[in-house]
Amino acid sequence: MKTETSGHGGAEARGGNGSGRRRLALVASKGTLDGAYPPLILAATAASLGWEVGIFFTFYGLDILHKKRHKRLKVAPLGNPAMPVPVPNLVGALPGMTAAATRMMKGWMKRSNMPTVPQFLDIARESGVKLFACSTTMGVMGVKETDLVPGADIAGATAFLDFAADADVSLFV
Amino acid sequence: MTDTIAHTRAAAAASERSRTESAKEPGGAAGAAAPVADLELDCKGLLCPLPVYKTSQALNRLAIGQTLRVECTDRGSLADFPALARQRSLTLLSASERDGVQVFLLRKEAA
Repeated sequence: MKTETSGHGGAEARGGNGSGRRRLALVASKGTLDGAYPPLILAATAASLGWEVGIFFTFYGLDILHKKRHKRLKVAPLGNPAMPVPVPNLVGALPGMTAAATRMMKGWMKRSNMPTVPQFLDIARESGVKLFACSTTMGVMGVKETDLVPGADIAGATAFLDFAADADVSLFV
Repeated sequence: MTDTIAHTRAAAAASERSRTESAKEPGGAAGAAAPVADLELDCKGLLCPLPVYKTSQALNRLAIGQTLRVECTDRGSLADFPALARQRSLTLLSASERDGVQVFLLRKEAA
């Protein structure tokens, strides 16, 4: 078991963005329950490591910042062979199946003490994570500024790329 | 979730600290008394990112040189806590696992 950590991997050498801290830039493009967790988990983790973090919420991913919609994100069994209950795929198209799968996933999350999506956004805000709300998506989908959670920064891709240009890690989720 | 500040044990922690550091196999002494830390954090039953997030918050309440003991049940924490120590100014004094519980002793260092 490794115990001393100094001098390992140059961890104290910080990112090249001038802030002296590493930087993570994420694009969150999915508006599903299962798609919302990975960027939020990565953001919370990176912020805990002392990194600067920014997430660009674009297209359906903008629903994660939508005050009403982010409480109703769903997971679809249709076309999702990873669902743990092996029902024939077409059965997933029946009414009520998406709601059932969503209830099931929310149940797992609760049993595992995982925060909800709104709770993860609270963690992100408290940790200083930048929440970029894609202005093009807002225009295309008719999302108003008042629809968004507090702390969301409306921005275009240019502002995000300006942030991401100096990132040490960039991921499209 | 129980965070227990053990100010009264600061002196004990200091002696424990030097003992732990001098040990060649930290955490390897099964059955030994749990190391005493300035702050203790129970992250049992929590999954990533919560143990690291809560540890990060707890570290903000510690002074440089103080120690934090964290108990986890997320198997990934065995990989995550050495990485956390590398990423922040921490020394991982010991890491061990017994009966599915991972125990980490961290010391906050000057940034």
